[in-house]
Amino acid sequence: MAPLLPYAVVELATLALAAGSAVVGLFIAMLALRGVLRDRSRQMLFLSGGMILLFGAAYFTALLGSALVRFHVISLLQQNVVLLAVRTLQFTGLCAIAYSLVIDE
Amino acid sequence: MTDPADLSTDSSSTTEDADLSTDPSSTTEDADLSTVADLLADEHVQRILAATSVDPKSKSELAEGCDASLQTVSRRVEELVAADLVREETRARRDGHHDAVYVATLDSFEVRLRDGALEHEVARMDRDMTDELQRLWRKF
Repeated sequence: MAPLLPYAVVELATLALAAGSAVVGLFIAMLALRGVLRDRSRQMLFLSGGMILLFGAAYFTALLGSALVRFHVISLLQQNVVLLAVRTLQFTGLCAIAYSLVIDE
Repeated sequence: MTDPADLSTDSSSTTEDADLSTDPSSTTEDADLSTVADLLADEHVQRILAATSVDPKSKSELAEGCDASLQTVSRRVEELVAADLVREETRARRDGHHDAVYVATLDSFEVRLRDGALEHEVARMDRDMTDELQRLWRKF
């Protein structure tokens, strides 16, 4: 059965959306960082840290993992370690964002 | 001694342009010194400015919070808007209509005696996306 969309289009769209998420996420992180520098806000500190981990660090780790697999530096099985690192970064980032919501300033 | 009534004619307002990209406050053409001073001396105005510096408030919310009649608050708010110390914004309601809400724009008010004349400067807050993010996040 022919695929609904050509594989190259799907791959390109996935990469573009992942990059877009990282850009938007890091933009919000930058706004929060300005709040940290301006008002020494702890709430903004955890929000910016969380956003950087969730969108920045996780994205670049996943990107690095894909590149390492593509250039045969690591095997597909070893890619699971990269996936674990990505999930850990995402979970830590989400915890930081959740904590920023409950901080009373 | 200078008659306070003559302050508005003796004073000159500064119209320096602040660098908005680096400074959170900006200065624009100011209302008369006497107008601003009279407004700031008013107890209701002080309460309105304090309340609207934290969150946008409607006139009825201000009347409730400032323990004043809606008429009094409405008059003071109009004077503050005219003096550019408070800005009007709209807030969507759940029924699809909009409320007029007010946000303080005043950051600081400075009076200087220079070369036989009183100069005054009203610095205004230039609220940016960081302020809005902080305000929204605090509400959660």
